[in-house]
Amino acid sequence: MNQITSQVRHDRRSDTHDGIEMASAATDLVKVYGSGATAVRAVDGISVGFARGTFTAIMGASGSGKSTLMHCLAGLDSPTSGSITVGGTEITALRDRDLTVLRRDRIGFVFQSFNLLPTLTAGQNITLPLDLAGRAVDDAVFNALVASLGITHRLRHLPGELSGGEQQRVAIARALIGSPDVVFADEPTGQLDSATGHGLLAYLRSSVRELGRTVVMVTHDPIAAAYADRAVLLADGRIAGELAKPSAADLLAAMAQLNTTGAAGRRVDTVGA
Amino acid sequence: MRGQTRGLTRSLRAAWSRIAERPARIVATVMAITIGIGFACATVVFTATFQADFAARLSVEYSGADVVVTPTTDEPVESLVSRLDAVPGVAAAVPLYSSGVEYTAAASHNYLSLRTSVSEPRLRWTTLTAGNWPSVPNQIVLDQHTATAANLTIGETFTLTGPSGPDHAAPPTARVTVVGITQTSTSPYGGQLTGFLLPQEFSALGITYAPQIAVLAEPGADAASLAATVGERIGSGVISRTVAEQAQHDVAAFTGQTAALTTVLLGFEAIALVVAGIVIATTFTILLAQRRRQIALLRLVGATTAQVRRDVIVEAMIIGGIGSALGAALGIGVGSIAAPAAGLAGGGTVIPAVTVAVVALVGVALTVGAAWLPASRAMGIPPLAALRPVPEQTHARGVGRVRLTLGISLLLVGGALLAGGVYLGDLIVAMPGGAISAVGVLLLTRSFLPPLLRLIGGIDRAAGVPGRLAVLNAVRNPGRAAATSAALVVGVALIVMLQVAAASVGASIDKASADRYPVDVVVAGDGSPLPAALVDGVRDAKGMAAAAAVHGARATATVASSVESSGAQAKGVGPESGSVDGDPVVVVAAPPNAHDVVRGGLAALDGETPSAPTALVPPWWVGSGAAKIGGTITLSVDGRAQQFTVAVGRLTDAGVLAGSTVVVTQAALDRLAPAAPVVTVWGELAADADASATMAEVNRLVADQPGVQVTGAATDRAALQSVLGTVTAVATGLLAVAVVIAIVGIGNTIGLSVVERTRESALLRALGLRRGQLRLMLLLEAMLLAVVGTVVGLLLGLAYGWAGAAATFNEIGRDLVLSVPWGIVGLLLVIAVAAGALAAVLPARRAVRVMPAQALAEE
Ligand SMILES: Nc1ncnc2c1ncn2[C@@H]1O[C@H](COP(=O)(O)OP(=O)(O)OP(=O)(O)O)[C@@H](O)[C@H]1O
Ligand SMILES: [Mg+2]
Repeated sequence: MNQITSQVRHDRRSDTHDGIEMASAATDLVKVYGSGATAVRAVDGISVGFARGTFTAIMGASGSGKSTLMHCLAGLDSPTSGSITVGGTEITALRDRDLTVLRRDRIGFVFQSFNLLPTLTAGQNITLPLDLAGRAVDDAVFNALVASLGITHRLRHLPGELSGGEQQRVAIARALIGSPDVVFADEPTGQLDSATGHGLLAYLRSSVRELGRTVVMVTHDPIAAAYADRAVLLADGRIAGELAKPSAADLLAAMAQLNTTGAAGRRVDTVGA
Repeated sequence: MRGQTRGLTRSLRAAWSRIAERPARIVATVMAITIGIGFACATVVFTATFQADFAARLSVEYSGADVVVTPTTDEPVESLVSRLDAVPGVAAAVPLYSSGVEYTAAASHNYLSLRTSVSEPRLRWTTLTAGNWPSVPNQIVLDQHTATAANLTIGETFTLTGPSGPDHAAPPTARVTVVGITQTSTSPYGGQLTGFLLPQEFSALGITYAPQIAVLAEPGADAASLAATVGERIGSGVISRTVAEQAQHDVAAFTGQTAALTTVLLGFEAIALVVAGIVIATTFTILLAQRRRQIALLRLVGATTAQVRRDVIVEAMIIGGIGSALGAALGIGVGSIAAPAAGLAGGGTVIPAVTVAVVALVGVALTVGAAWLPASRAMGIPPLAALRPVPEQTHARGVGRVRLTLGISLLLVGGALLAGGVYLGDLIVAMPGGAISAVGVLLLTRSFLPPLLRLIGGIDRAAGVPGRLAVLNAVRNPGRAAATSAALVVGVALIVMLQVAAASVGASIDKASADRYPVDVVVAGDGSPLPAALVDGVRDAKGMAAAAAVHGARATATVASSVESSGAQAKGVGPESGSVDGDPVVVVAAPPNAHDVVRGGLAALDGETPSAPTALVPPWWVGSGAAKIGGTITLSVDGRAQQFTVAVGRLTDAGVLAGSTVVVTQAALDRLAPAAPVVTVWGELAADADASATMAEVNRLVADQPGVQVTGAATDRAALQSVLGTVTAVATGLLAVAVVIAIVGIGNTIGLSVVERTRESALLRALGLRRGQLRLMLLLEAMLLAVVGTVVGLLLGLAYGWAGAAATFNEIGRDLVLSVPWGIVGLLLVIAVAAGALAAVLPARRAVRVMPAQALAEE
C-alpha cells in the first residue's frame, strides 16, 4: 500500500539522470562559513545524486564536510552556491515557507542526537510531521512501523524515559512515517552498542529494499557503511571517491588511502573490488 | 588568606565574564531591581522634599520674625499686642490673623480666609504681582488664585461678613476694595481663597483672636533671650518661642500625618520589592538550570560546593549592584522631578544621601537573598550530571508533598479565619486570615497552575500543533510557570482587591446616602422665589435624569392645643423648647412628578381628601414633642389658615430641605397660597451620572444666588466619588509598579526559555514547523502564562476585595453592596495579555531568524 503511494509520487516528480530517477541531487554545491581570512569552504564544489530506492553512505574524516553537505541537501541550511533538487524540485530558490513544507512532507531526518521533543511522548514525536501537515495517521502503517522497530510498548513514554537506542528508533520511525522522498540520517548509530546499531541499520536497509525508500546516511563506521548500496567518500569538502556495494574491508582500505594521500590526492577507485 | 583572595578574584572574573558574554540574560533581572529600587529611592526623595516643603509652609508666615507668641487665653489680641509692645527689646508685635469669613461680591459668594497684611518688609511672605499693599483699612489684597476663582479684579468693591456674636446680633460687615494681587506660592492652606487685610480691619469685623503674634526684636537683641523676657513679662497667657523653636514645634505637630504617608508608601514599596524578589529568584533558577552541566563540569574537575555557591553569589552581587545603582539614579531623577511637579518643593529638593545608599544596599541584599535559594539548590547538582546527555526533569516529590500539605493547611486555616472575620465583622480576625490564606494560595500555585494552564490552553487547540506545543511548553516546568505567574498574581490581585473594595465601599455609601436622603439634588434657598432660569438650568444639567420645580410659601405653624405634649403649651422660640408655635416655616407642595425624583416618603400624602389634608413635618418636631403624628397643625399664609393632619415623611428629614419645611399636596398649597412661586428644585441623577461633574455644574448655577444651597444624596456621592477616586487611582498607580516588574519577569522567563530551547525550536523547524507557527507557539505560551497569572490574580483580588469590604461594613454595622469594576478588571486582563504577547516578541524574533542547521549545532 505504501508502495503504491510511493509509486504515484515517483511519476509526479521524476528527475532522471542517465535514465535513473534521483530522489535527491546536488550540482556544484559550495558552502562557505565565515568570510575573509577565517572563511571555511566546508563544501567545495560537490555534484552528487542519490537514486530512488538506494541506500547511500557518506564517509570521510572528521571536518570533511559530511554534516554540512547533508544539511544543505535537506534544506536545513542555505548553500553559498550551486543547486539542490529534492524529488525533482529545485529548493535553493524556494521561500522559507515552501522549503519548510517541503521538508515536512518530502524529507525525513535522523540526527546524531537530540532528535525528539522532550514534551511529547514517543508516539506523538513519531506523528509530529503528519500532525504539522494536518495529515491523518494511517493506523496500519503506524502499527507496522513501530512493531518492526520494536517500540510499540514505549509509545506513551516521554523521551527522557527512553534509552538512547529507543530514542534513535523513535526518530527513525518519525523519519519514515510520512513516506518521504528521501531520509537523511547523520550518524544514527553513533551512540548505540553494536547489536542495537546493526538492528537499526538492517531495518533501514530493508526499508530501502522492501519499501523502496531512499536513505542517505553519514557515518564514520565502515561496518555501518557496508549496509549501504554505495559509499561516497569526502575529503576537505570534495568528493574523494565512490564505492559501489562496498564491504567493510574495502571501506577501511579506502579510508586509510584517503588519509595517506590527503585531500588533494587522487580519487579513490570508483569500482568496488 | 591569599588563597581566599585569589578565589574571590577568580569568582569575580568568572562571574563578570558570564555576564559580559550574554548581557541579554541579565537585562530583565537588572530591570526588575532598577524599577523596584528606583521606586523606593523616588519615594525617599519625594517624602524628604515633601517634608522640607511642609516645614517651609508651616513657618512661612513668621519665618521673618525673631520670636513667635502663641496666645493661650482669649485675651483680645489688641490688648496683648500693646502689652507686648511695652516689653523691652520688642521693636514691633504683629498679630498673624487667620480667620474665615463670608464674602459677597457681584459675581460670587463664598468663604474667604483672611490673613494679616503686614507692613514690616521682613515679615512679608508673599510677593505682590499687581497693585499695592493696603494702606487704609477698607482695602484688601487677594491672592492670584482667589482673584480668579472669585472673579474679582483690582478696583472692585465687595462685602465681608464677620462671625456672628454670641448674642445672635447681626454680624458685623465691612465693604472692602481690591487694591492688589499677590502670589502665594508656599501657602500653608493650599486651595483656600485668601485675602490680606490690615490688622485694624480685623477688629472692625469682630475678630479678636489671632493664633500667633510675630515679634520683631530691636537691633542687637538676641532672639532666645527676648523669647524668655516676653515669657516672663506677659505671664501665663502666652507661649513664647524663638522662630526656630516654633518651626520645630509646628512640624512635630504634623509628623503624625507625614509619618502615615511614609508608612503607606513603604507598604507599596515592600510589595514592589517582593515582586522584584520573585522575578530575581525565578531568573536565577532558570539561569542555573541552564548552567546545570557547566556547574557539574566544574564540580567534576574539582570545584567545591562553596566555590560554586560563591560564584553565584558574586554574580548576584554584581547584578544587584548594577540594578541598584541604576535604580538609585532613576529614583533620584524621578523624585526630584515629581516633587516640584506636584508643587511640593517649597523647601527645595532634598536628597537624603544616606537613606538612598541604604535603599541601594537593600537592592543588592535582595538580589543576593533571592539568588541564595537557587544557588543552594545548585549545590545539589552532582558532578555526574555533566555526563548525562539529557538533563532529566527533576520531580522533587517529597518537597512537593510538604508544599501541598502546608499550602492546603494555610488556605483552610486562613480561609476559616477570614470567613469568621467577615461573619463577625472583625477586621482584626479577617486581616491575618486573608494574609495566611494568600500565602497558602501562593504555595499551591505550583499544583493548580498546570491544570489551569491546560484548561485555558484548551482554547489554543484551535491553533493546531503550535497551540498544543505552547500548552505543553507552558506546563513542562510547573515550578517555573508558578514562580513567573506568582509575581503577576500578587500585583494583579492587589490592584483588583483595591478596586473591588473601593467600588464596594462606594456603592455601599451611595446606598446609605440614598436611603438617608430620598432626593438626589435639592436646590433651595430660604423660601424666596427661585428664578425660572435656575430651574431650567438644573433640569438641563448634564447627568440629571429628572427635575421637579417645587412651589412653596412662607407660613406660620400653630400646633393645636389638643396635643398632649408637656412642652407644647409653653411659648418658646425654637424646637429645642418643644414648641414650634408661631415659628416661620416654608410650606412646599409635592410636585405632580414627585415620584420621578423622590425615593418613597410621600405615601402619607397619597390618600388624603380635601377635607382632611395631611402635612409632612420634620421628624424632630415629633421627636421634641412639638407635634404628634396624627395630631393637628394649623398653617397660615397671609391670613389664610388651614388645618392639617400631622405625618412625618423622610422627605423632610435633615439635609433635604433647609430649616423647617412642611410638605403638603399641590392642591392643599393652592388653597393656602394661590400662585405660590417656585422655592426649591428637586432633581434625580441618572444612574450613570458623574456625580461630581453634575454637582459642580449645579453649584455653578447657584454661585450668583445668595442664600441658595445645594444639598441631597448627590452631594455626598460627589464628595465620596472624588475622594475614593483619588485614593484608588494613586494606590493603583503605585501597585502598577509591581505589575510592570511582574511583566518584565514574564518576558524574562519566556526569553530565557526560548534561548534554552534553541535546539528544540530548530528541530521543530527542521520537521516542518513554519516560522509563523513557531512565532505563534512562543506567543501563545507567553500569553497563556500572562492570562493565567492575571485570571488567578483577578479571582483572588475579587475574593479578598469583597471579603475586606464585607468585614469592614459588618464591623461598622452597615449593609454592604458588593460591586466589581468590570471595566477596570477587563482592562487589566487586556493589558496583561498584551504585555505577555509583547514579552514574547523579541525572543520569538530571535528564535525564528536562524537557520535550523545552525541552531541544531548550538550546545
Ligand atoms: N557554523 C560553522 N561555522 C564555521 N565553520 C563551520 C561551521 N560548521 C562547520 N564548520 C566547519 O566546516 C567544516 C565541515 O564541518 P562538518 O560539520 O560538515 O564536518 P563533518 O564532516 O560532519 O565532521 P564530523 O565527522 O566531525 O561530524 C569543518 O571544518 C568545520 O569546522
Ligand atoms: Mg558531522
